[in-house]
Amino acid sequence: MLSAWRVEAGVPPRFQANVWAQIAARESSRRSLGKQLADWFATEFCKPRFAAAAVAFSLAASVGAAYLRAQDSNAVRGRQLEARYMETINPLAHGSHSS
Amino acid sequence: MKRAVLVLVLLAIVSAAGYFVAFHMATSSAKHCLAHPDGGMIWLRNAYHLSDAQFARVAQMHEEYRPTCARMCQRIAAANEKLAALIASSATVTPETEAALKEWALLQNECRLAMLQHVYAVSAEMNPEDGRRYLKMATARIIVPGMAHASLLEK
Repeated sequence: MLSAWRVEAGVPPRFQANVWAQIAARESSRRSLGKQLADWFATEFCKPRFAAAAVAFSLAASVGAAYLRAQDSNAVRGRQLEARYMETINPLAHGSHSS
Repeated sequence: MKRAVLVLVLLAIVSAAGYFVAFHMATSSAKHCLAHPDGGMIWLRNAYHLSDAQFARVAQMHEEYRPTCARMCQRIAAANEKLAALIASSATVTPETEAALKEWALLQNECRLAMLQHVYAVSAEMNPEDGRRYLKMATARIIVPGMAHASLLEK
């Protein structure tokens, strides 16, 4: 039985052509990722649901950033006002200034 | 593509407008305080959560204390000038300089005492927690900030 066994080493028909076709397809999909994104941007992004979500998200982010920056700004102004109040009750501060 | 760019532009405008409006709203109170002649008192009211009645009493105390503060201010300025002139006119410590220095120190002490009395009186008008905070803030400016005796000895 062993002596009768033969190895069939042939490849399927159009094997090489199929391999090259698959490689070409992958490369072409990689190259067009940017284009796909641009297409999505041009067609999908301006649809009301995406546009509204983007506007809402960016508005929330900008308002949040503004409040964070305002906290710092208010802290600085608070220290200035505190110093101004203390000057009004501290004769030493005025006396030193006028001398 | 044109519409998408339009959406992007709208996004930028809405974000910038949102940022500026929110920033303006969040800082307008402090800006108003800073521009106001009595900004210090408005700050005191906000920072220490004074009610209308508390603020009225504190403002009255402040008005009553103001002439005392002004008189002391003039006396300190005069004592500073006198001391500076005496120090500049001699190369050694004269009895006049020594007397002027003692007078200057006594005056400084008197001012700190008056200020401390005012600060205690104001803090007594506040809610306990705010009063404690106010005392801590104000006394830190009356007493020259320095190290405790123990930490000085360690050095």
